[in-house]
Amino acid sequence: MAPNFEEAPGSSKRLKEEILYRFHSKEGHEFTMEKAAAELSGVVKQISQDLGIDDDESIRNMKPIPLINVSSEAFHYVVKWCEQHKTMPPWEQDKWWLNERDEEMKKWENEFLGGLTSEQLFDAANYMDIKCLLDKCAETVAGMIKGKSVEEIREIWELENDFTPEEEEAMK
Amino acid sequence: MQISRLPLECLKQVLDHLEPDELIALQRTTRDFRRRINDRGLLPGRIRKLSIHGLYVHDRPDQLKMSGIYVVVESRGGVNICTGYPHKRLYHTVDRADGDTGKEGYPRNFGRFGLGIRRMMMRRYRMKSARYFVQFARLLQRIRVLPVLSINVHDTGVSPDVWSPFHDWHYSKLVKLRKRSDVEPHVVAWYAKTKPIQMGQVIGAFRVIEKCCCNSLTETVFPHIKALFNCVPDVFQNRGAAFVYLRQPLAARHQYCQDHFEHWPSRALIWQNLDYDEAFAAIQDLLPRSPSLPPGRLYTHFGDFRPVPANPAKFVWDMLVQTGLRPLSANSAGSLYLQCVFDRHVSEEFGQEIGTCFFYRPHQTIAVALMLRLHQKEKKVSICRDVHATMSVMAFPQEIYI
Repeated sequence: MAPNFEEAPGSSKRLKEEILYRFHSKEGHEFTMEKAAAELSGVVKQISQDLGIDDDESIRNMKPIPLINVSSEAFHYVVKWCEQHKTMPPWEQDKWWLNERDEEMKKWENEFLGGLTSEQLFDAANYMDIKCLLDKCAETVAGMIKGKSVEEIREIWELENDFTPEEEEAMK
Repeated sequence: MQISRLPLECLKQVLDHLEPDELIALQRTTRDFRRRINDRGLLPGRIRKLSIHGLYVHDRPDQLKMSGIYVVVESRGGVNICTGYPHKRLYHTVDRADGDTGKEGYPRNFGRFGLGIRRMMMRRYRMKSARYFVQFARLLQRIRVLPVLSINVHDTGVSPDVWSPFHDWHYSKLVKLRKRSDVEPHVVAWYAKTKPIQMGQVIGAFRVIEKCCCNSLTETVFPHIKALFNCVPDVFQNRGAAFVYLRQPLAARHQYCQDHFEHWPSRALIWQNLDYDEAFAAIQDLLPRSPSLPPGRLYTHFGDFRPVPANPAKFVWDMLVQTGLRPLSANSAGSLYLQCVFDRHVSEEFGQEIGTCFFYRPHQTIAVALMLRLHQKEKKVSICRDVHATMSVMAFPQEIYI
């Protein structure tokens, strides 16, 4: 069953006192996300910077950020992820040693992405430039490829072999 | 999930986590993957250049100690990957448009673009040797994972006062490299203040000079430049590869051009230390004399504007409007940027195609479009670092030298 977006953690019905960014999903649903969580997104940070939004009042008055490539469903999960990670130190793409997670968080992440059944979340993470989520999604998908033979990869991902025997031979 | 439906940018992220054999296995699953991986330069075999940067940083001798040999790998997909300061065991990423500096740290970007280089490098060399570059290049050759098509020597010419044994070492390594492999080192950028004897070393070391830069064109220096050009006339005549930086006042510069450069089929003259009005005037003036300048294109180099425009977006936009040209900027990594901004976005009315992600990351596309839109409203905005990075990533390094 699809999540109830009206009552979801990121829905616009959340407390007004919080400092919330507002978003519009692809379908036009309005979501909110707490500042600390939202700023895990490079897009949000960049837009805020470009628009000169640097105080809480400006954030409150800011128009919803349109996320034209992010579905409501994907955004729902993005919100969950960001809320969970909002207290983590910023993800440093070039400093992997700073990105170690404690066991509890790793377990949460694995469970969260264990049921990753749609590329939408991955796409959303990419679109919103949420590095920690993006990296985790990539790692999860890569984990399904690692160590597999060509045939196994085809089987797992239900890919149809469309090479001719000659082409296959040439690739060997 | 359908992995075949993953957008390219996501796929790149996935590939970053895979070893070369796994990449190859994935490539062999379907035609679509073969196309997406191979054609986009994500797989071994698509590396175009190794560039050696930065023995000399930003004309500042005091920064010499901060620099070192480092390597930029540019894939066909347009990626500057990573660099290293072997003697300091530091590695910098140069996925920025200026190409000269980057973050210090672990060379994660080697892997980031799905090439698996980082892992190989860490496994085999552990960044510990000053012979890193040669070893690395030979490694790439030997294992044939990344056939190196050319090696560029970039910004290695220096003023005589800062020439050091380090440079001799540097060139000697390159000469050896050329002898030991099929790699042809190319001089991409070189400063004409180098002493003639050193210039001779450079010419002797490299058969191909693609781009020559001088940061000062004076009567003293000019004979040196001319000597260089005369040493390798075919390069300049056939390839039209001379790029000249000029710092003198406009009138003097034009006189030099008329007197000395007119018969040289230089593709473009590039200038420095101009204010913007002067730059526009120079462009207009330059065009009729540069028949080899590709129509509608202008090569420039943001890094060589001093001071660097506080608002490059505005500058480029003004340039576009005033000259009707499509500016291409060659960064010091030999990449082009801004082309895509104008090709894909400005020309499509300020990026209405935001969703079409030609940029490395969609948010960067947004940032570019946003920046331009804000500019349109005459609000002061500055180009953001991410946009720089984006543009660098979008490079088409092969185009600039054609």
